[in-house]
Amino acid sequence: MDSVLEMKDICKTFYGDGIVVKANDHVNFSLNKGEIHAILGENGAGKSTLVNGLFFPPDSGHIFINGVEVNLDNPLTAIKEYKLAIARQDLSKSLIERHTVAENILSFSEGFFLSLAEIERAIKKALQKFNLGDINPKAKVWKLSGGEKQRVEILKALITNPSILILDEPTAMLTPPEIERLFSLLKNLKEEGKSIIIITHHLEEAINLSDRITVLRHGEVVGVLDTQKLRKDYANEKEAIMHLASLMVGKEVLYDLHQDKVHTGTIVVELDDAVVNNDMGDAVVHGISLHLKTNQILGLAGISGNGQRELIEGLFRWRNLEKGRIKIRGQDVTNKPIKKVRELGVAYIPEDRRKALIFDLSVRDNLMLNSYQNSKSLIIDRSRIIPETEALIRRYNIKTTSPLSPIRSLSGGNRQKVVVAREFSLKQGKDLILIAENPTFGLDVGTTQFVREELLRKRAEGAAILLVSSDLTEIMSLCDEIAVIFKGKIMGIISRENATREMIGLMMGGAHQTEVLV
Amino acid sequence: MVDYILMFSSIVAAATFFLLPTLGEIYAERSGILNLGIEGMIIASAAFSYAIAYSTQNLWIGVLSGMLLGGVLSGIHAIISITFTRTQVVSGIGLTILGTGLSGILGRGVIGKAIDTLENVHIPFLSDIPFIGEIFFDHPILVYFSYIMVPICWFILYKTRIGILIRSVGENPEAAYNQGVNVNLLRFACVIFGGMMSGLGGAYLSLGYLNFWSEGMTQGRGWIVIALVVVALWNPLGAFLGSYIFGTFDVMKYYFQQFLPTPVLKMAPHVSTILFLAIWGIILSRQKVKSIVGAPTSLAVPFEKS
Amino acid sequence: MRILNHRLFFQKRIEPITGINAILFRIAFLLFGLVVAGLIFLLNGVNPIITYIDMIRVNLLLIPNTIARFIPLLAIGLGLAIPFKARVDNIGAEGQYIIGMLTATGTAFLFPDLPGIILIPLMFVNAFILGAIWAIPVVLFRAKGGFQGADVVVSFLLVFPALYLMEWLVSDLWRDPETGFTYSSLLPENAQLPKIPGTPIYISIFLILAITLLVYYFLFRNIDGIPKLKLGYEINVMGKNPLAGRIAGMSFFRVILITMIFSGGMAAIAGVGEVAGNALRLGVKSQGYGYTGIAVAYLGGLNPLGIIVSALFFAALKVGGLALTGIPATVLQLFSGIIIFFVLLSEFFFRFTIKMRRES
Repeated sequence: MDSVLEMKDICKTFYGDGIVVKANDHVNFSLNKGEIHAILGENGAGKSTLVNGLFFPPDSGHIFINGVEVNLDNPLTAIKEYKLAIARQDLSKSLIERHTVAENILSFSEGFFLSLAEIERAIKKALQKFNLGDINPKAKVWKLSGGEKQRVEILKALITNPSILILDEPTAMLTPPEIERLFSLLKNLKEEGKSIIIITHHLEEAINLSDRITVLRHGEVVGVLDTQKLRKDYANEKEAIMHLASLMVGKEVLYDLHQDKVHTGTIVVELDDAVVNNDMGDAVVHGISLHLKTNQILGLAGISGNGQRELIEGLFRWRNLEKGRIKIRGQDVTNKPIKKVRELGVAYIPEDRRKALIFDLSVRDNLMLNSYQNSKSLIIDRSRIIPETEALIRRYNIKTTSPLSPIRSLSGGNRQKVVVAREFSLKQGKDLILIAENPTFGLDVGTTQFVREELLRKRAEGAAILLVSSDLTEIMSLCDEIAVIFKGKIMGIISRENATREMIGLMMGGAHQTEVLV
Repeated sequence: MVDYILMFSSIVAAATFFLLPTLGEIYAERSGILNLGIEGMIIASAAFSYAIAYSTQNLWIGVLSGMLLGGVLSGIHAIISITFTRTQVVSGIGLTILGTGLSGILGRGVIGKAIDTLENVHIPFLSDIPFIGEIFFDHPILVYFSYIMVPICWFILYKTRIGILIRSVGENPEAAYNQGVNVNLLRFACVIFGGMMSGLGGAYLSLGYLNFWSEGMTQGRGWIVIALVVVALWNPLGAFLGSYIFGTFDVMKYYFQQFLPTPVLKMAPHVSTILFLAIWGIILSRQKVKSIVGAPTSLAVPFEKS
Repeated sequence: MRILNHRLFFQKRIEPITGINAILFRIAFLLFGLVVAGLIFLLNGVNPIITYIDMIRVNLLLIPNTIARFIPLLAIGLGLAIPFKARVDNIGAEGQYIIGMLTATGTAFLFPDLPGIILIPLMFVNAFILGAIWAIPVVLFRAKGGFQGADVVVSFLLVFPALYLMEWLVSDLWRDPETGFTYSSLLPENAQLPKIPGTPIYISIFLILAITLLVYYFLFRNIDGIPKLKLGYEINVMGKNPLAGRIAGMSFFRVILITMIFSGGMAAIAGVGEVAGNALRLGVKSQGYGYTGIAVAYLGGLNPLGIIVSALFFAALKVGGLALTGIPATVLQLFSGIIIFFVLLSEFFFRFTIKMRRES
């Protein structure tokens, strides 16, 4: 088979602030003509870094396109001369929210003057051709839903008519039917002779879609597998997946969590008929009511961007409610400041670490962010804080050279441990109300396991927990009750015993509980 | 009896001084770089262009030197804030102080010395329109230049590819960078354009508007320019409107002298700017408004390539 | 950047430069800054080496004068450092300083018969209060301004009303009836600050040094990484990541309000010293200490102890400036501007280093 793309000995190192990360360590990769090649790996395994090497030069290594060594030092060279195109994972770094869809899709327009009308026509045509649904090219990107944004990003890549298409985690914001459509599109493109790289950490996706799979772990290639052969070698898909999983994460494998039976307690948080606006001033939560109870994990499942963030930010008073009421332990806090809510024991683990950590300050400074206020006087009680923070570092096994090292110098997993340590110790037992937003996002397997176990431990101790997650596995393995959110509305609340993955999946795509149960 | 034609004509003259730097700063801010050094660039250029015009006896060499100095000074800001990714606010403050210091040195030889300054240029037909012609078309050529720059700046920003790229870079530099846009180059260009427009404003101040050089002659007008960019909602057409409003405040002090003491009148532009900003602050803090016409999303956020 | 077939690029240091090395680094960049200023002198036909030597000589002869100039710079620099640390960019110290001068003069003229022991403290208290009030709009704009840099713009614009107010008062209400020049009458004797005998150093120096050390002790001195006061910790958090601080329940508004009250008050206190200890009457021009104070704060690394040193340095520049013939008074601002740039550059190189790579 001819390989259209070969990457040899690719090395890329990230420096800085106390850490050196070898994101790619002598990685070899090849892509054949007309194949779908999946790059599989955990978060932080170096998948995105590898394909980024096609647009910005890696530290060292050689890249061959159609057998000829090329120097890709600028994205434009890659896009224009070698017909590469990429749909990136992090849409916040790829789409311009305040511009229209047409203004975002600029890469194929040339010349000094700009005919937006022409671009808009081209977009409409392309949407039809690739069966990507209906998107108004004149719409501002921030008006679009997560799934629509993802489709715009994919269109942005497709519209240049690339010969090599790279999709970095393209399904994160898509509903199951949308994923189906995307995959059949990719198969069609393959028939047309295009070569496709798809980056994913979903094992099923890799097996079902690809011809070959390259598995990365800690910046190194640990295996290149032929999918057909993989299927043949194992009796069923499940075993094949297990094999891939062990390759991907090494010895550490997520084991089943042991969930003690606990009796759900009393209601501590009542949210009634909440309407919340997003940053742009549009209502994205439309009249949601939720109750949190002690000794319970309530899961809020949904594709990200369906109003989860605004809902929880409204819940702990970071955002104003346009309508509705919040009661915490019987007290009406609807218009109370955030400080009051925090004093009532509401702890918060945001998905965006910048909301929880001060990167330039020390581990200790970050750990004392809640507890420094505990003394009544103006003076910080050093004699209490120091042993407390040191105990947290030990208890949560935070790996740092010193409590005075800045957060910057910690690895991603240890950074999240700092947040977890601080927020989990805000109150003890039944006094703790915990709001966790994708708490394991971007973490390695070990830390993921650790965070999940801690959540269950807190539940057993009596905490009321709201777990917002777009990861179905996480929801299914941790929650007592599952609420599914879609376009700012609750599609239904099901206890875990009655829930199946399929039901939740359908509800995440907009089906109502009543439709699913039939 | 107030001479209305003279009054309106001097409003145009005052507004032009605001308009030129405002257009430049709009480009800088649209590309994501806040340049708070306008005051410094204006005052240094005013001194420099006056001194050069005095020594060469050529006004246009003076004007060009002013522009050039504005470009060079904004280049310092660009290097510090783009290449070295330092905080734009502090760098801009530094530039203001530096420019003020520089103006003293550059202009020390020409304090109180008079030269022939830019002449009013008569445009056939346009200048002959009664009233309008006398108000708008009896000015030095830099005033006419400001008229044409408004639609040009608007057109480039909204109707050309480079304009969309500038706005993209100011909204989300990472996204633009990923698409192959040379973010730093574009930002450099915009900041230096801004500096040159400020330099031109400075040259106009000493050679076309006030027609002298004295230390501290800008009286904080450079900061009014920064406020104007906000009032203009980062749009060249808004800049036109805003400049004429603020030009009016600036001129009014000459017409209220019999009612209020001069020092109080001198405060008028500054105090009215603050009030304007307060009202704008209230309007712009509404999310709906902010998302449509608010500041560029990445304004004053340093862009570090990964 | 490419030189021959080598490419120059910046790389993050694995460990950023801190502690004593950071101070040495800063001094090195300060020297670079003086070289650049020297080049500007050279372009203006002034020999920089002779100039610098003259400046040092003048300072050695006039040490008490240098210390007298050091007083307002320390007060303003310290007052600015605290809001700067909390990321409020107050550059209007000049205005707050003028308000301080006005308040002191006004208080003295209003109660000319009070004994000094009561009048002088009253001048300081009044000035602190009015200076702080003059600074409060900056807080409002910082918190609710709706755009980046609102605090900077408004704080600067507030200088002018203060300046013109002074112009008005001096040319009208307080004008010296004897000479007829546009300056005020002399302050009554009981309103004049006592001086250290034989020197121009007035007593506010003790007050301001004491405040500096107290601020250092309570807000800046970390033991095991923790400052004494909660406020000190809150300023650190707000300066580095206000978002995280506010989500944790801190009040951004309260923190910046306190910092700005202090900042405006300190600048005003500097103004009291200037008018009651140095000039003894009000003129129409101010000294521009407010702008130099910005450079003082940054060169001092926003730390009270560093600011003592940098205020001395700028006081020496100011006094040394007397030695410069043919260079106007704004030269101090030239130095200030250049030094701000070099301080920024030094901070970049705390975290980055230049690397060179051979390219094929």
